[in-house]
Amino acid sequence: MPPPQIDPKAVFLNIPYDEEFRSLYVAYIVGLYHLGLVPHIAAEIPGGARRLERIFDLIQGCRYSIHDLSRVELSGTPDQTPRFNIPLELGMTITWQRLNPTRHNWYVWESEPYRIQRSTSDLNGTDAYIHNGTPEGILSGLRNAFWSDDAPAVPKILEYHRFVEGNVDAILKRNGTHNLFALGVFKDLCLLCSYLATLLRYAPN
Amino acid sequence: MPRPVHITTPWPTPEEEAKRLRIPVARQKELRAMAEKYFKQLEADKNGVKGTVIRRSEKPQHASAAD
Repeated sequence: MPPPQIDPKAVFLNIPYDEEFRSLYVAYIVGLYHLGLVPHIAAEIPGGARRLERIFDLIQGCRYSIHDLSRVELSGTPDQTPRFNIPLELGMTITWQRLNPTRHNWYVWESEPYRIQRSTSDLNGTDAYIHNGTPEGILSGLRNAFWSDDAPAVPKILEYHRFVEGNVDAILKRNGTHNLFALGVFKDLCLLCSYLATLLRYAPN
Repeated sequence: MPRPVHITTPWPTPEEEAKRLRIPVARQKELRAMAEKYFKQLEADKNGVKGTVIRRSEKPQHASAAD
């Protein structure tokens, strides 16, 4: 079966799905739209088929992927379960890129410098973007990874980030959920960011 | 650090995104209104008009637009 067609603007976000990641999640979405790119997350995958296969389809359809390894600690639940989904999907992506070097670029993000050398030592030699757990760090890293002639400055994108983050609760309420990563919430965030990025792009200086 | 990738593809338009995301027209209008209202506030602030730009610590004033 031929691989899915690649969307040259698509970026697969392999990120922690937890409430504490809210501000950084919004930063990735806001930042990518302001660079002319389009984020994708696993929540977009329809049910029915085997989840892992659909995630792999999504990765194959994206020109880029971002893998945020900043939550490598054990979960806060009493059983202290380690999180393996993000490294698993990173491994799938690396394999895909090795076999198809011109079809995909992947990037690793971390919150702490040098921790990746301990948590995932096989990635030694891979430069991770360090976001220090801040939206500004995410936006700065995105601008360093992706260069767009029309990209606004980080402080300007941060203004938009504050606005979008300030509206997340209303968007959750509108979608009748507390799940930040629910598909309806993700869609609303995407379109809101798309409108903002377009307004800013065509605004007179 | 790897060299940045130069993004040269056409920017996605909100219309394309709304279609791809299959967002109902009514919701498209609500989200567009939220964005435009905020953008006008920013422009007004830039032009010296006393504005109401949302800061992180403040309750969002546009919340009702999403309800």
